[in-house]
Amino acid sequence: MDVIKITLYGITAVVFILLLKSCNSQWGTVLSIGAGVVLALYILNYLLDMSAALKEWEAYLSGVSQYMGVLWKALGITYLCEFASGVCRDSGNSLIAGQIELCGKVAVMLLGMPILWALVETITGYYQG
Amino acid sequence: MSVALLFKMAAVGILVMILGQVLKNSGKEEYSFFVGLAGLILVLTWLVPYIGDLFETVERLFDLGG
Repeated sequence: MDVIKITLYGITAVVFILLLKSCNSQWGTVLSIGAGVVLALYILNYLLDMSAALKEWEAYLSGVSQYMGVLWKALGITYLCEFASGVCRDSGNSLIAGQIELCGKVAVMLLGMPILWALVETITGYYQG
Repeated sequence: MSVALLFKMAAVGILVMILGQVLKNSGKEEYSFFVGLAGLILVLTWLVPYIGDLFETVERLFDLGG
């Protein structure tokens, strides 16, 4: 995880984007998408190793592994939707960005619905008992 | 962490703009659009593998494969 590499990469990307934007052309947004994708790839590879360690921890928390999976998936959905809406907002069309964020929220809500249902059931169980 | 991608894309952007200006001044306005299109397609051929790789990594990492 070479932080210097990432920061320098971001700064050079911004310099190139400014250069392209100064000649008022649209290539700046294409370049920012490219830089964003490359940076995300570099960071996600480190997250891969971490996720393997996280899966081992689930062995200790015996009853929770189902919810950990849902949590992990929700994290992925939010990351992806945030990345895509950021790209859309950068290029100026915030309408599409809003729709993508809405889709992310709905997806996470749908993902968490079974957990909510289990909670409600346990609560109503107390009343009958 | 390919910095070459940045350089190549910036180079294509600048070249397309210069060629567009040259073509505009020499009267052939329509060709500048085609040059821009060719430049965009070229950049996309470099960029799409990275984007595909990113989405595949995210899908494998967060096991979103649904």
